[in-house]
Amino acid sequence: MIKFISALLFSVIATTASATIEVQDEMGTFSIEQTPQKIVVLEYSFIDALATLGISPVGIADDGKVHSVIKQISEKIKPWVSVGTRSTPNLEIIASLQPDMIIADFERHATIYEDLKKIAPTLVLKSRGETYADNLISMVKVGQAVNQEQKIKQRLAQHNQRMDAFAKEINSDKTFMFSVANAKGIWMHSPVAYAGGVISRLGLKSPIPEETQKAYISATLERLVKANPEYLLIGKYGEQTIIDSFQKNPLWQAISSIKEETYSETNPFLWSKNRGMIAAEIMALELKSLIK
Amino acid sequence: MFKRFIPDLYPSLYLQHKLTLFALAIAILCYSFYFSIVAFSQFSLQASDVYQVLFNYNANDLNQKIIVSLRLPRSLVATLAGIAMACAGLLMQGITRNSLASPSVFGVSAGAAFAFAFSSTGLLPWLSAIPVLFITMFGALIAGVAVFFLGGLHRPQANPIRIVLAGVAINYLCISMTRAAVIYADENAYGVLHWLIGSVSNTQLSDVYTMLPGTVSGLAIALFFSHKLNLLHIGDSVMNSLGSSATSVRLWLSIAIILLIASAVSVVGPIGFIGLIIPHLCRALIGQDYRLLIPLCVLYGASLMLCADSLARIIRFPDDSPIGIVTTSIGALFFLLLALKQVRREP
Amino acid sequence: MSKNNVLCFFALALTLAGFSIWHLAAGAVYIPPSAVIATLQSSNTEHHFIINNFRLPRMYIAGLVGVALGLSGLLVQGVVRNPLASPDILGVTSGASLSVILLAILWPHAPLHYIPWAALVGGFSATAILLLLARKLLHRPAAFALVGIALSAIFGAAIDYLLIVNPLEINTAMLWLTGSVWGRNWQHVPLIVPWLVVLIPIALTLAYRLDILSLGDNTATSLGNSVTQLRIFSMLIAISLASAAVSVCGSISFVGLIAPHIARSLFGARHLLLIPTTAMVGAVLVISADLFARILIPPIELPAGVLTAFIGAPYFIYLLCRDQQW
Repeated sequence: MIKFISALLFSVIATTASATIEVQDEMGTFSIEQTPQKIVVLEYSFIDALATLGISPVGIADDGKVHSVIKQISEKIKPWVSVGTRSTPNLEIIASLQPDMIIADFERHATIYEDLKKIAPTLVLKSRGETYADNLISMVKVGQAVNQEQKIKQRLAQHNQRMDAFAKEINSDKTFMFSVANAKGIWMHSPVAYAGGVISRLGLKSPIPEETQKAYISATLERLVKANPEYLLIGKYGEQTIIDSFQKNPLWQAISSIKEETYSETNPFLWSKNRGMIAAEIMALELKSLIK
Repeated sequence: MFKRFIPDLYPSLYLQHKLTLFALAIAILCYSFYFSIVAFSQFSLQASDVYQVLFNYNANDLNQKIIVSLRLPRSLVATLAGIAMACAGLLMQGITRNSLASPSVFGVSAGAAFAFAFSSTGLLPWLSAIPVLFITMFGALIAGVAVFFLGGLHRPQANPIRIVLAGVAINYLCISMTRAAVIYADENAYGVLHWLIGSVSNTQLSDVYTMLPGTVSGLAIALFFSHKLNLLHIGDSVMNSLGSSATSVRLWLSIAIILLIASAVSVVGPIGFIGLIIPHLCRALIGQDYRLLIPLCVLYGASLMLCADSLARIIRFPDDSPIGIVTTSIGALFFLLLALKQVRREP
Repeated sequence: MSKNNVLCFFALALTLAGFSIWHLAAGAVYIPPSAVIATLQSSNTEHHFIINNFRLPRMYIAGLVGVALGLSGLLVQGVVRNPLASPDILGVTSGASLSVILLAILWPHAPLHYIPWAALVGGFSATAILLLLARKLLHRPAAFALVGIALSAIFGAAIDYLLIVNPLEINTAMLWLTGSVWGRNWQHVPLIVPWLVVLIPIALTLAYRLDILSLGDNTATSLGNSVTQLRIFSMLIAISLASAAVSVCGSISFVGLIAPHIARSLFGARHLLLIPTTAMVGAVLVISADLFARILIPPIELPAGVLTAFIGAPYFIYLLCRDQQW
């Protein structure tokens, strides 16, 4: 009897004792002893994965603007503390939150990796300039790090199913392009940018398929006319952008998208900053409603 | 060699020589203008398209529409900017009698740029109601006054290098503050970098209209005072004894300088070194007579900007690069050569 | 030292101490000064982590960089004999920046701790080029400065070109060059301390000769000093200090320009006194700039270099109003 009870106890203890989680990240191997509860994220693309898994990050580097996180994601998580800009997050605020884990962007935060590690184990993934495919890999890694690998893989499978369904429904052979515009210029997103990746995932064509070197291409109206997308989506930063002056130019009407009245303006935070499964599905929904 | 053509001894040869220079300059300008309209575009624009636009405009042809709605305004903006900066540089060199004077070296264009950047931050919302030209004029004025006093121009014995140091300091100050304003204001600070270096991408016909009044009036003032500027070059006391007031001439010309710089910067951004290179080039060609120098600088300034625009399009074709890269690269080298030459000349 | 000088000195020291404590106290979490002092003395208080891992190293680095920049500016102004001179005009800052950007482009995956070394190499190379071009001009300091400015313009043009053509690759480099104390920690302190430890005593030994130099070249030569040698030597010290500062924090503007002025207006023109006081003024400037950069619009951190530019502006206006005879 005693043997049985002790064996039972032992097995219970063995299963509840968390094993060290290990994930391959950009700096080598990330390992953490226990499942993290309080997480600080330093880029928008990581919030998506956490929100999907029902985890609320305690701190986000949101550039001091709460609305940078799209509504559909901020609804799923509790209010967070802003830790500053993505390029120079405030290390003190991060430390004061006493997180169990930090998720950082390889490109921006490699310089402070050692400092971040002192605060908490830090998972470093690619984020800035990532492709759609890279982003999905990163999301799985985030899921692994919070010990919910199964759940995130299920969600990924579900996402793939949904995207395939969208692709079938949209089923257009016209060219689609997304660009961001602000007061000083307009940048086209190429097929290797995130938005471009979502567009190709949905089986849609890009008007600039040859641009595979850079994600963001600074454009003039002339380039835009040459690219001549049949569906043009513009994400505007700010009230007054260069689009206002473009619209006064007679060549604006020469772009297919304007001629066929398929031009639309959308939220640049959704299309460019909050990269993730949730964002991708909303983007697909927008494209679908655009076709109708 | 050409200096041997002394006007009195060989009047007809002198005239012929000057006319040839101008004819050459006009030819270069025309070709540069044509080249900048047609070259390096993703659409293959050709001479026939230009011909059609001039004589048989068909609004439905895409190539022609591009020429009229995009290329032509862009080239016109480049032309006006080149005229304005070259003329401003020439006048600055004339007033200060310092061969290193130019809008960018003296920080005046940086001052105009800062005023523009500051008004874009929205920290003082009533600023957006004022036309951009007045804001940039104000910035250029403040920077100009600062350099004037810091450089000791208000004193008779002005050390020419001291004023350059003052200009560099003001330039650095304005650029630092502009960068700060940009960090504060912009969601995408990288985009403003192009404008800070000087860019004619995405310019439209409305920009041409913005630049035209300031450039034309500044040029008119300069031409009106060109004879007085010759006297000024000889010396203040000579001029005063001849009955003209050196101070009032300087004042009017300063107004012209500010008008020219402000109109260029408000559209193109603080483009560097045109005002330094062109006056020296023209002086080497045609001598010191400002009545001839001003028109020649106008022609060559425009040509240089147009060529720089074409070059800027080659660098990362088909991506546009800011025109300022080309002018700054050439200009900085030129500045170094000039600095080395000038310091060797002085005792 | 006159009584006035002694008082000023103590006032300056107090200001430095005050700003330092304020720097340690203020931030995302406000730590009252008494707690700060307690934490400095023992290491087992609740604020130990933040103060020892973030604020203290930042304060030291800001102070040390300020010392280096201030001193560098003092020496450059002495060499060029113009109060508007700063280490930037000799091409140090732009040379160092160009070097860092080239490293980022040619060797994108270089270990991060190579960046400060690249900056050092860049600063020294820029000086080497300047000396090569203008060594005959050392007896005409203003002309020498002019060539330096032109060289700076060339490096600046190259930097702008590379920035436009390779925007994404140089992001880390750009972050480093902004002129900020963000992300600097204890591991960066050894990049600058050796330079200061070696060069400040050397500068102090030169103090008397620098005083004579400021009397004019003829006077100095007739008093038996080799003017050119002294100029080269003090310029080398200035460049080393400036390069070290840029390699740690990027280019923080105007400290090298303003600090010597403030010190001169408070303490006169004797270099033996000017050297330590300029160093202290420089430290005060950078520490206070970093302090305000952190607390002005939390949680956003501005780069300290931006704040110093805004201090520079009113200072220039003040200079204009005073219209000093130089």
